[in-house]
This record gives sequence, C-alpha cells and structure tokens, in this order.
Amino acid sequence: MFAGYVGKKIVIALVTLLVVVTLNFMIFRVFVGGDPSQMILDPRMPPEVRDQLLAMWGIDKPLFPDQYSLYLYNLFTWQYGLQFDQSATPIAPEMVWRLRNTVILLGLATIGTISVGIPLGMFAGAKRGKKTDVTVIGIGLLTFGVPMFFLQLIWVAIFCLWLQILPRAGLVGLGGPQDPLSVALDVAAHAISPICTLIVGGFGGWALYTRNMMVDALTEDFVLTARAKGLRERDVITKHAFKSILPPVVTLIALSIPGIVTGAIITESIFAWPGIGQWYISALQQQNHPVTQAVLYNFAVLMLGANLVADLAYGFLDPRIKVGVRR
Amino acid sequence: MPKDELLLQVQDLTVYFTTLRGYVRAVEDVTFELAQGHTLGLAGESGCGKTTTALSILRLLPINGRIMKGKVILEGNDVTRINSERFRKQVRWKKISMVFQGAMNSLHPTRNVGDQISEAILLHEDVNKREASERAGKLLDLVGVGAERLDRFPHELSGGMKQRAVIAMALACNPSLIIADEPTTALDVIVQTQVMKVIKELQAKLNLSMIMVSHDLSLISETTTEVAIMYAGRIVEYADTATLYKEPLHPYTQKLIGAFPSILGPKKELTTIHGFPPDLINPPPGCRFHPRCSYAMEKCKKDVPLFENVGEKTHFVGCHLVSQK
Amino acid sequence: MSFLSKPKREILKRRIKSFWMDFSHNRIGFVGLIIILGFVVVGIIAPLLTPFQPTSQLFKAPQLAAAYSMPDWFRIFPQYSDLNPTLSIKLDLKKAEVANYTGPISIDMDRLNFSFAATEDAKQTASVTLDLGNFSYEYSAPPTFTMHVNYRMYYNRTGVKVYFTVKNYTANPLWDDVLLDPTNAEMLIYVYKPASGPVANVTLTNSTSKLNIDSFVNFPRQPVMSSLYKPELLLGENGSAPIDPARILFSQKGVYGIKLKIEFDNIRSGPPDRTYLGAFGDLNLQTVGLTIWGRVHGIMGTDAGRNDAWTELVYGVRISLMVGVLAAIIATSLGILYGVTSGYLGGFADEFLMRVVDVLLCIPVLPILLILTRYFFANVYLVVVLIAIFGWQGLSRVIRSRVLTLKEMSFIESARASGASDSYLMVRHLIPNVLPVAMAAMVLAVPGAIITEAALSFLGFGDPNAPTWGRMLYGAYQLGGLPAWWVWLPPGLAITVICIGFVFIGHAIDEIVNPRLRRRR
Ligand SMILES: Nc1ncnc2c1ncn2[C@@H]1O[C@H](COP(=O)(O)OP(=O)(O)OP(=O)(O)O)[C@@H](O)[C@H]1O
Ligand code: SF4
Ligand SMILES: [Mg+2]
Repeated sequence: MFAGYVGKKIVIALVTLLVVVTLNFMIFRVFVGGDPSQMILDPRMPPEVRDQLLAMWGIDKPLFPDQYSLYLYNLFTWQYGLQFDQSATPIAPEMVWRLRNTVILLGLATIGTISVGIPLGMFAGAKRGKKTDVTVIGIGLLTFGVPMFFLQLIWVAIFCLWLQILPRAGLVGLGGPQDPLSVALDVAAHAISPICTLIVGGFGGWALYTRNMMVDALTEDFVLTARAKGLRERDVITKHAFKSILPPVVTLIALSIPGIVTGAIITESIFAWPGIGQWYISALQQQNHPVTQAVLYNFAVLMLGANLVADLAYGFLDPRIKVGVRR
Repeated sequence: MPKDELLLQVQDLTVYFTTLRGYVRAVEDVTFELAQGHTLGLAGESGCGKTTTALSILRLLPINGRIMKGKVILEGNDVTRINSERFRKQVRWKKISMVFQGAMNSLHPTRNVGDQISEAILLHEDVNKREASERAGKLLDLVGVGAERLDRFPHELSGGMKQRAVIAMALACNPSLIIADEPTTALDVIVQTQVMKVIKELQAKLNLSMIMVSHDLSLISETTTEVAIMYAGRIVEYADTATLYKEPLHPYTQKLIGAFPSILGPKKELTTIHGFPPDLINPPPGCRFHPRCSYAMEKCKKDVPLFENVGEKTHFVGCHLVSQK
Repeated sequence: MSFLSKPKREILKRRIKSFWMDFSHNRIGFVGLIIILGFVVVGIIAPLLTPFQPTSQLFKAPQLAAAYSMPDWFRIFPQYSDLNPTLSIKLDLKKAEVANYTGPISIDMDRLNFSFAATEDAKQTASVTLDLGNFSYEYSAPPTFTMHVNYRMYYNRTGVKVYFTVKNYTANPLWDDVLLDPTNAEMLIYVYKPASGPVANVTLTNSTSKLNIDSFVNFPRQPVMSSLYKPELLLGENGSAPIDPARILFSQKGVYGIKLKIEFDNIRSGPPDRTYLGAFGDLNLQTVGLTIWGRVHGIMGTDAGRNDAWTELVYGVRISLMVGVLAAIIATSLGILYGVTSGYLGGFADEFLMRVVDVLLCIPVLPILLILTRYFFANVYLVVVLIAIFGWQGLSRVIRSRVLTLKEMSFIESARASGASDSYLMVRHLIPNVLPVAMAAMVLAVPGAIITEAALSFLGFGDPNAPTWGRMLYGAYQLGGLPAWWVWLPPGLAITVICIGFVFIGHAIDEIVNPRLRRRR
C-alpha cells in the first residue's frame, strides 16, 4: 500500500516536471522566440563566427525534434547549455555556484523561520486567549498583510542606509582580506539582512497556522484523555497535541515551497545576493533565455522534490495514509 | 445512604463558564455520594451539565470554566483544594480515570494503542516498558480486544474495539473510581450491547466503582446501583436505581422515564416533554423546571426547592410538590 | 435574488442578518471593514483629494519639482525650513525695459515684436536688451532650474540668438552674469569666481532638441515656437560628484534680476555676393520664464519621474482594490466551479481533476508570472487574470471535499431522487452551501493578489502605465530613491494596511462560517 502511495506521488511529480519542462521550451523557443543573433550579437560580427555561435547554441536546427531533444538532454544531464551572450558561456558552473548561494540563504532562513514560528505557535495555542496567544494572532495576521519586499526595504533603509551597521548588497564586500575566515565572516555579514528579514517577515504565518491547528488539536478528546491520565502539561502539548498535528505541519512546509521560491527572487534581487533568483530576474531582463529556462527548471525540480519529500514524510508520520485514507 | 465505605462525596458543587454573554451556570449546588463498589448513574437531557460535573471532579474544566464553590471529597480528602501538581501525580488516572464522551476520539490517531495504554502505567507506576506493555496486553485481553492488537493504530480498529480499548486504558492503573461519560452513545446498537456487556462483566469481576453518565436510561438502569437525575445544572432527584425507576417522584424524572421506552415496567405510552431546556445564562428563577412543569405553582417560580430526603431509605428530591405532601 | 421564492428570501435575509450580527461583534473584523471602507472612500473621491491626474498612458503628468523632493510640510522642521518649493517666475513682458539696442531694428513694445531687416549691401547685426525685472529668492540653493522662452519667429536668412542673463543684485560673489542662448544650442556661460580663481567655462545644452538653423533656411516662413532650456550638470572639481549650476547660481538669498538679450545676425549662406539680400527676422516674444525646481513639494514630495507622489498614492488605491478584488473574485469563481464539478462528478473524473490540481499546485507561480509579464502582457488587467488563473487550486480542493460531504446528505439525495437535474442541483443546492466558506477564502485571497501584483511592479515587471504602489516602491529599489523614505514608505504602508484590512475581514468571516474555530469544549 505504502509503495503504491509513493509510486503515485512519484508519477505525479514526473508528469508535472515534464509539463513544466515542455512549457519552458515552448514559451521560449516558440512563443517568445527571438533570434539571439539579432538580440545580442554584435551586427558587425563576421558571419562565420555567428554561424558557429548559433550552432553551439543548437538553434540553427529545426525546433522538433532536434532542438527539443537537445534541450531535454541538456536539462536532464544537468548541463543546461550555453548562455545567450557574446561568448556563449556555459551555464552549469555558474549554476552550481549560484544554487549553492541560494540554498545557503533560503535554507538558513527557512530553518530559522520554522524553528521560531512553530514553537511559538505551539506555545500560543496552548495558552489560548492569553497575551501570548493574542500577540501571535496579531503578528500572524500582520504577516499576511506586510509584503516581504516592503519589510526588506525598511530593513535596508534603517540598518544599511541610516545606521550603516550592515552591508547592503552582494555576497562579499570589495577589497577585503582574502583568507577563508575573513571571507566567511564577510559572507555571514552580508547574509544577516536577507536571513533576518525572511525570518522576521515569515515566522508569524507559521506561528498562526500552528497555533490554529494546536487550538483545534487541544479540543480533541485524546488530548483531554492525556491530561486525565496525569501527564505533565508540557507532555500533553508536545507528545500528544503537537504530535497529532505534525503531519499537516509537514505538508504545510511542502506547500510553502512556492512562497520560498518567490522569496528567493525578491530577496536576492533586493540584496543583490548572487543566487538563482537574482539570476532569473537579470536573465529575464537581458533575454538570456537559456539561463531563464535553466533556473525555472531548477525551481520546478526543487519544488517537486520538496513536495515529494513532504508527501513521503506525511505517509511516514501519519499511519492512516498507509491504508489509503487520503488527507 | 449506602452503608458501605464512602468513596466520593460531592457537595454543593457549582461550576460556571465565563462567556461573552455572561456566566453559563452549568452546574449549581450538585450534591451526591458514591460508596465503594457502587455505580452512580448521572442522567439528564443534553446540556444539563453532566459532562461538566464529571470534568470538574477530575479538574479538567476548559479554561473558561471555574468551580465557584463546593467540595469533591475523595477518600476523605477534598481534591479541589490540593495542589495541582500533586493532584496530577496522585489522583489523575491513579485514583480516578475517565472514559470520555465521544470516546471514539479518545485515542491519539498517530500512536498505537498499546503505547497509549502503557503510557499511563509508566507514568504512575514504577515499571519498565516491557512490563507496562505486558500489562496493557492483559488489559486488552480483559476487554476482549486481544493482546495481539497492542501495536495497532486506532484507525485500524472498529468502533467497538476502540471503545473497549479506551475502557482498558481507563482500567490501566486500577483506579478507585471510573467515570464513564456516555460510553455507548456514538456506537450502533449491536456494538452498544457488546460494550455494555463488557462493562457489566468488568463491574462483576473487578468490583468497580463507577459514575455512569448517560442520557440512555436503559443503560443506566442496567449498570447502576444509584441514579441522580440532573436538570439544567441541578440534581433534581437521587435514589437507588430500583426505587427511582419504580416510583420516580420529581415531575421531570417522571416525564423522562415516561419518554423512554421502559425495559423494567410495563409498556407505557411515550410522553414527550414540551419546550426546550432553559438557557443556562439566564436560568428561570425558583425551580428551573417550572416553565415546562405541568404541576408548577406560584411558589415554584420564586423559591428554589430544597433538595431533601423524602423516603425511608435514601430518596432525595428537589420539588415543592413533593415536599408539600 | 428574484428567482428565490418568498420563504427562501426570508431565510436568506435572516441568515444575512445573523451573519451581520456575528460580524459586527467581531472586533477584528469590524476594524478590517472600517479600514477597507476608508480605502474605498478614498478611491472614490480620489479626484477631490489630488490636484493632478496620475501619470498614465493617456496623460503625462506635469513635472512638479526636483526628483524625490520632500513634502512641503517638512519645512516646519528647522533643518528643512530653508528648502525651496518650486518657483515659477513669470516675467511681465509689458513692463520690460529696453536697456540698449544697436543697429537697424524696429521695436513694437506693445506686442514685443522685433523686426530686423538687413540692407542690401552690408552684413548687419542688431541686438536689443530687455530688463525683465527682479524677484527675490529666499531659500537655500535649489537643486536645478530651467528657463523657457516662448516665441514665434518668421525669418529669412537670419539667425537669432536669445540670451538670458540672471542678474545678481545682491552681489553673490560666486558669479556675475550667466547667459543662455537658445538658438545656438551649445554655448558658453561665464561663471566668474571671486577675484582669485580662474574663470570656469560651463556648457549648457538645450534639453529639448538642437535647433538646426539650416533647416530654418530651407523652410522659410515656418514659425518656430517655444523651447525649454535646462543647464547641464556641472562636473565637480577633482572628479567629485557633479553639481547642478543652480546650486551655484542661487547659492545666496537675495534679489535676482533677469535680462534678455536678443541678437539678430544675418550670417546665413547663399551666393557670396547676395548674402544679405532679403534677410529679415520677425520675432514675437510671448512669455519668458524661469522655473527654479523645488526641494519640497506638496503633501508627499515627488517621485523619480518628478510627479506628485501624493496623487500616485491616492490613485493607487483604485488599482490595488481593483486588482485584489477582481483577481479574488475570478479565482474564487474558478475554484468553486472546479471544486463543485469535481466533487459532484466523483469517481474517475474527480480523481483526474484532482490530480490536475496537484500538478498545477506544483508550478512555481511567481517565476511564471514574471515570464508572462515580461514577454507577453504587462497590462494590469491581464496581470489580474493571470494572478487569478494561478490562484484557485487550493480553494477547489476545499470546496470539493465540502461537496463530497454534502452529496451524502439527505436533502441532496431527496432532491436527486425527485428528479432534479445535475445543473439544478449544483446551482441551487451545492453552490449556495459552499458559498460561505468560499466567501472567507475570497476575502483572504485579496491580499495575496494585491501583494503579488505589487511584487511584479516592484521588480519592474508590472504595467508601466498603471500608477501602482508597487511601482512607487520600484523607484525606491531600482531608481535610487531609498533615502527618500517619504515617497516609498506611504505606499508600502498603504499596501500593508489594505491587506491587513482584508485579512482581518477574512479572519472574521472564517471564524463565523467555519465552526472549527469556534468550537469550545
Ligand atoms: N466551555 C464552555 N463554555 C461555555 N459554556 C459551556 C462550555 N462547556 C459547556 N458549556 C455549557 O454548559 C452546559 C452543560 O454542558 P455539558 O457538556 O456539561 O452538558 P451535558 O449534560 O454533558 O450534555 P450532553 O449530553 O450533550 O453531553 C451546556 O449548556 C453547555 O452549553
Ligand atoms: S418545584 Fe414546582 S415546577 Fe419544579 S418540578 Fe416541582 S412542581 Fe414542577
Ligand atoms: Mg456531555
């Protein structure tokens, strides 16, 4: 049964991936189109160099099947092809570097957000109606109203522009010492602003979700039973109430992946963090289609992967899934 | 009063809920006693305060509920007064355990049954995990679920099995008192009889002291030694089961028993009670039953009737009509 | 509602009334409602609140002050009290005094007509100087200024130069005279520094277009009209930041005067011997003005485009409300339709439709929206539709599961047994029963849509013609407006407050229609 459940999820993920990948191809090669030789190449370039570039990009051949198969081959071998620029730089090496930057930034931010938000929500739910609870509801509702980029602008204006205690943009400062420790510290200083804003702007939503689920869970009879059994209140809350909402919480983490991707694009643009989100925006602006496609592909893979992991975790955490009871 | 050793005395218990619209006077001046090995039935319409009474004995009221006055004396100690940490360690489940209303949901959905039973044992007794789980298995055997189902999850059990597992859980620490809040309500008729059978067997085997909360009068009549009838937060009549069913004195009890297809007496015509139970935020003054009582007098609208013994044995009634005689 | 029978109408009325009772007792919801009503009112009376139209495709808003000027009321703070508002100095031509003139020229002072005609045999020039009076300038140095001369000219083989002189009556030691020549687009002005320093030469360029005098010759008798002059940035000394000449010219408080010098010069080409024959120029001077652009303006200052930020803020309400509400309505309708259909059909169709939803939920929305707005349609209405298209999937799941439970209920069964058609059942029974839940979801979808649109605009991918709050924030983010917090803070707060208003209302509705949150033991 469990294998069937997993199999189904994997099939859905693969179908989604194929849809996204094909759309990705169609949008840029068919609908947007545009001849890169017109858009980016120097018109004075000698024709034989031009033809050579076109051949390297693989866009001198017919769309189907040649271009499409080359495109698929590139994606699934994690090569992504060459950028649309004068020198046709390969995408893969830069992608590896940028992906690492993004994963570091968003990974830390997400872990921070969740580990502040969920315990807070748990606590607030347990103290229903008390000050903490009201505060958490307030912060949670605010979180849905405050756009992240606005919060980040305020942060930059205060800490980077006015007080000038944090660097405003980039991964490292210019011209600092080059030994690994100083570089690491410099990167950390640059990462503080984006990570802190992501946490500040994000934990309220998690706290509110968790709080609502906790409030629900705490009205359940099994929680009352646990209390009647003489369990410590702390254990009632963690081992019984919270454990029962763990599967939906995990699902929620999966469902938040789109939001995190969104966060990557905006946050990285604001703080000029050289991750894939920022790359995506600049590639869109410069019509650097292979880069756009490659980043989009990575977004999709990230999301599907996370969804899959969450689904499996749900199946693992909630025994009811095994017999095919759907959530 | 039963001559056996007294286990539980509830005196003048009054519980209010704070709501936006005002106090809900859910339980008012409730007084009853329970002797060792006896079973008290607590019956009444939905919303009359049965669950609230039961919960306040275990000090498990929701946050907006408060015991305004009264005592709950268990084996000589007033448990409403003792320190909550001591209460948790020494009274909950060890002295008093409870089968909750809607017991279908009393089991944690993502933990297996054995785990949940042994959790209680581990908490209150100095045993290791293996012993606890062995005892849990024995308990499951006792209620007819079977020790082999220890590692099953609740959703893998049928409704009846779940209910019996919950009863097994209530027995885990050999409590002095078990409160069963509507143990059969959510079940279909066949399963109901099964569960009732289990309860009766256990009562016989283990000499259990129980409070059986139900609005199912036939269940009460079969499993209890005394019955208290509640109406709108007050106990209106209290007597041993046979007496109460044979000669109910309070007009409400009479109607209630009349409204139920009787198993004891000859088949009577079903009488229905007009009107609705009162709003407990503004309960009617005097006798709370007066708006629906066909014998209501002027006095009933003003004065709260005294709750007094009218029989040779114990038969407490709170009704002006009865005390006049 | 006329299709409802009378008792049903009564029931509906009672339901709405009881809903309103619940709602008005919900403090958070009530606050939200007040907020949103406030915004709606502002949106409706926007034209009354603002002196200008917002920038749009059809209308180019006037430039009102320097970019990112401060609000006018900042001047109550002592450190800002000297900042200048935009000053438009209109000079009364009727009162102009002819200070000197040379050569053959006839002046009609009433209409400020000048005519010049060359004689047959000699190259001639003529000039006239007009003194246009004084004005006093009582602020700290302005960021920049422009001058404009509005004139009509008929000419043949003639050039005309109009020089501006800003006369310093208060002996600003930094400069003496500044001359600006419109016809000769590039020219010199002379800035005299105090005795010791060298003379700096500054180039001014015509900001509109270079006038090519040859074309005058080719199209004689074509009147040429006004043009606008803006001094170019001065390069700072030793490579420091560029300085606008205005900062030097008006660096002192005091009285300034303007002089206009007009020079006719028949120097144009032609057969060498006939050069001067028939050369003439008729100049009709209409207005002469000087605008010193303000460092402060209006209620909220100006944005990067030098437009009134307050106007944009106020009109932004309309767009935000429109975007949010429209997207939410479309998304909710799609979600209801899809969910009801899926749940009602059941079986294989349901399974299939829900798998489609699963797939759609895995598509990264913002990246796709960015592509679509970048390459296909950056129109605010289409953005709304796009947001809606990506926003119904979650709701459809909820609706579907509701419908699945409803389907089992007796009233649906009995309606079906009595031969009700599928569409009748859906429209009359299923949809009304899922509406309350959908209502809450709809209100809660509004802030999401508003923020998504704002995010697109903020990244520079929004409708370039819609005055949205997101675009004002874009200015802060991309156009260097971050220090001008008074321009971007209000729209950011406005987005926040309007979204919170909807979140509050949605939260309240959710609490009322969703008994889950109300259940108490
Ligand atoms: N947390 C609460 N807040 C406010 N009122 C409450 C609360 N819990 C219960 N009540 C009210 O107190 C009264 C008694 O409730 P209780 O649950 O004890 O009734 P009951 O006799 O157990 O009914 P049932 O047979 O339906 O279980 C009811 O009127 C109920 O509405
Ligand atoms: S006291 Fe009066 S109203 Fe109440 S039950 Fe007795 S007769 Fe009826
Ligand atoms: Mg109850």
